[in-house]
Amino acid sequence: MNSLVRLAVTLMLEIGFWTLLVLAPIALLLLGHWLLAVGAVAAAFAARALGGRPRLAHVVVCLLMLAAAGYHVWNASRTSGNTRVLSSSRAAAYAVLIALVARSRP
Amino acid sequence: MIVVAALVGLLLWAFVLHLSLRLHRIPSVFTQTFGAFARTIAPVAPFAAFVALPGIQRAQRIRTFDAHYLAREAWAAASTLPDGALMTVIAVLHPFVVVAGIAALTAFTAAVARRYGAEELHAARAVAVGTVVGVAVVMGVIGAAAAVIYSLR
Repeated sequence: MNSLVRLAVTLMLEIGFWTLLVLAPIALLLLGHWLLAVGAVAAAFAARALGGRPRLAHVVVCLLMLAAAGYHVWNASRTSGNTRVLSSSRAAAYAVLIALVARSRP
Repeated sequence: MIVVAALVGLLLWAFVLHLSLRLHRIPSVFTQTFGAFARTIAPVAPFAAFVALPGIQRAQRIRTFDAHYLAREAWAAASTLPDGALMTVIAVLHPFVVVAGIAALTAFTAAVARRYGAEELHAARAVAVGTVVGVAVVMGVIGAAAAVIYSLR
């Protein structure tokens, strides 16, 4: 179980790396936001660098998921209807993921 | 139409994954890779299609290719849901289907590493490239086909 969670973290960091690399030229060419493009490339290489440091990767991934969960809790508090349900559900899913990743610390 | 699009998407995605594995010098055989991919994705796919319905419905109303408009629409589709009992079910299910999707991809990576005798990190890199490029190809092909079909109507 622990090795699968560690593999999932590595996989997510790699998918993040390639997604940001694909999104960077789109941000630059189609949206014209060069700062966004540079940020995406920097974040992509940061994600790639984290892949080689499993302990640091686990801490950073947990912190990022904590930030995302916090955003969804805040979003749920200011919205209504199904958008609120969606945000609350996402916050709950992040809580489950944080628990799983934190337990499988390398 | 959605069923055909899903089957074409599955085939295309599996083919891109096979190419990516080959590029990473993992001796992938398409039929075996497709079989492993279909087996791991199959339990999640119906739920993924179900929670994708509001996004598909929203995408059908798009009649422009302006990048800023599309980016705003994509963000709105990802962060808001209309009211209604069915949408509440989708709102609750959506994040857990995403988690199940990550679990399925991880299981596929572990299966590929085991089957072809590759290192798990190496297989993860290949699957990540295949997933990002595969999803982009699938969305591009299905989006283009949908645009052609709607323009002919």
